[in-house]
Amino acid sequence: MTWLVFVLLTVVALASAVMVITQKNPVYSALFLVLNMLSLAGFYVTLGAPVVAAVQVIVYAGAIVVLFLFVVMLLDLRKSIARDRSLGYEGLLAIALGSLFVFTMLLVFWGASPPAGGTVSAVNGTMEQIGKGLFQKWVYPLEVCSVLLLAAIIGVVVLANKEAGQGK
Amino acid sequence: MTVPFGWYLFLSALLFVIGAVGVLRRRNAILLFMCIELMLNAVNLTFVAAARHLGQLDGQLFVFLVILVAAAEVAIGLSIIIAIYKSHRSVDVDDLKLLKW
Repeated sequence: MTWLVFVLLTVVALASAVMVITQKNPVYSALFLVLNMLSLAGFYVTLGAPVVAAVQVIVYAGAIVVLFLFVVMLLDLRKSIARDRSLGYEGLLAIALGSLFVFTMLLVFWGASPPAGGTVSAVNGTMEQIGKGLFQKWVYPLEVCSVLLLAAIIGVVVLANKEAGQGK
Repeated sequence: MTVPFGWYLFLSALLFVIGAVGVLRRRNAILLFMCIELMLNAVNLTFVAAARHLGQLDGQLFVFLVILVAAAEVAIGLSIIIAIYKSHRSVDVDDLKLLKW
């Protein structure tokens, strides 16, 4: 059963990822990106991380892809779509080196054994456990990330307001 | 019978490579960002799978930070793309030679 779910989700994830990079129209790419993120959320559920799966759906599939779609629809991309060329030598080189990378990962991690020390406790990423971890052990990285978010907000406002500011 | 850790690593390596091929192949700046998101997602899958493999929650917590940074990056990147489009009328990375001479 777990294998069946794994194989199904793998097929969906890989197929949608390939569709993202092969579609000519950016709107279709964004929609396949949603499918890819939903399949990854399925993986997170099977890996005992329901909270991460929920955040994945809300933040990635909900917010980030909507942002992509807004920008795609704001800009006139017809020229860019017409000019997007097919697989050149960079693409072939990328596929060759990527295959090498995947093969190396396969060799190194195929026999990834459980860590020393015997049995591994089952991970259960409930909201309580996640909250404790984030606000006790990882509180400083979290605070740094909040500053990063603030900087991003200010940066976006400044970038969006640039033309209006120059007009004064 | 759970799926071994190696399969997840293999899958996320495949997803990462698909994203990298997309970055090298596409010329549309927005598509480049989508491919970067694909790569970040592949890394997130590795984190969550490693959290289960090692029996520790830290991998799952780190995924939150990665998602947060990805959200900030997309917001900034897309607003830069819009600013470039306003001045150049194009988001094709072959047209953008601002930093070349």
